[in-house]
Parts: sequence; C-alpha cells; structure tokens
Amino acid sequence: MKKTMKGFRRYLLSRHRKVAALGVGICVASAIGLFGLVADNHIAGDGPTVLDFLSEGSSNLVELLLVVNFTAGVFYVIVSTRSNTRIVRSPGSRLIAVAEFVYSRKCFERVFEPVIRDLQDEYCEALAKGQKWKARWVKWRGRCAFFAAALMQIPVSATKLVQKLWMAAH
Amino acid sequence: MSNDLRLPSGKELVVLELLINRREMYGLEMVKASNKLGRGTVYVLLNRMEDKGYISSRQVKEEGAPGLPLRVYSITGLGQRAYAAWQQAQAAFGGALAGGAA
Repeated sequence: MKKTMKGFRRYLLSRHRKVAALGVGICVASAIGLFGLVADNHIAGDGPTVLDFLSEGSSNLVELLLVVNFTAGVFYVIVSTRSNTRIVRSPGSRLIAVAEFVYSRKCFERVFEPVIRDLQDEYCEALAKGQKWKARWVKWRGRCAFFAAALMQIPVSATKLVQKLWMAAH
Repeated sequence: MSNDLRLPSGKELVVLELLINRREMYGLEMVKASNKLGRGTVYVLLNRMEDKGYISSRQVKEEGAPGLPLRVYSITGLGQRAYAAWQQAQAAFGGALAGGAA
C-alpha cells in the first residue's frame, strides 16, 4: 500500500502539468455538475438551495460523487503545483528531429549533432552549477547557433544536390 | 575528397593552427580557444574542411553516458601540407596574406 502511494505520488510529480490540467478540469466539471443539480432542485422548489447544500450537505449519491470529484481535483492541483520536480525534454531535442528530417545523414552527423551536443553540455553544466539564468541564455544561444548552421548549410547542401543530379544526368 | 593543394582560407587556418598545436580537439574547445570561430558556423566550416581532406573526425561515445556522441577532430597530412604551404607563401610575400589564428 505504501509502495503504491509512493508510486502514485511520483507519477503525479512527474506529470505535474498534465495532472494540474486534469485537476482543474475535474474541479470545473464537478462545480458545473453541482451547480446544475442544486439550481434544478432550487427551481423545482423541492430540494435544497445553494446555501442549504453548503450548510447541510446532501445525501444524494450523484452529488456526493461530484463533491468527491471536486475534492480530488483540488488535491491534484495542490500536489502538482507544490512539486519542485519537473521532467522536461532535453534542449534541442525537437531541433534534432527537424535537422534529421531535412538534411542528409552525413550532414546531420557532422554539423547538427555536434551543435546540439554543445548546447546540451553547456546547458547541463550551467544547471549543475545552479545558474538557471545562464542555462536559459545558453539554450537561446544554442538555438541561434543551430539556425545559423542551418542557414549556412542550405546553399552547401543545395549545391551538392545539384552537382549529384548533374552527374547522374550526364 | 580532392587532393589539389590550395591555400586554406582565414578561418580554415585558425582551425589548422589549433589542431597542429593540440593534435585532437572538439568543436566547442576550438570556439573557446579562438575568438574568430562562432558556435553556429564552426561545424559547417569543419564539415567543409573534412570534405577537402584537411581534417578528419571520429565519434567518441562514452560507455553508459546518455546523450549524443562527441565528435573529435584531428589534422590530416594534407592539412599539414596546406598549412606549411600557407606559411611558405606568407614568408615569400612578407606577411601580405590574410589569415592566421587569434
């Protein structure tokens, strides 16, 4: 049981953004459901009003489930926003995918892989020293370096492609 | 790879000079060692030099280490000859040629 709770907590911490969004969603849905039920009862004149509901509660099973859901939603939001642990993608992981798609394997390995490797090295080094602002700066500088390399590589790759096609045609 | 010996350009000379002095280096090391090389442009330059045959590279993957492999560059015989040719030309023209490491 203890292990299960630990695992559940770790899961919540690792997915804090999604969990927070889920929590807000559950809260909103429950609140709408509760409000709808109470308003219906109030309009019909045979049930408790909003104030009655808040002061006395309700024995209605659906309302009880909604209250539990709402509480669970609040719990999700609290746990997820209090967590300091965040699992994020390594910087440049999306750029790698783009470069791998656009450029040849050889060009990717020789030009873009080292650029991203440098970015990740410097980023992790800054984070390890606790320099968050430097890490952010390194990330932006690395992205700029990547785009500069990509721009410079376009004419080179295009020329090679034209040359290959020319050789194949003649 | 072309075998015709042409004089290397200014930035190519910077790389060749660094590699002659230190045998093996990786890209970021070169950028930090010289103020003429940029982070974004150094690998395009190294790729071009590798195509010309001035330098060679190999991937170094550390055992058990996550992430991308490290690429280490070293100078080739052709690169050494090109650098020597540039030095001779520099001596013959009395320093009128552009280039050289920072």
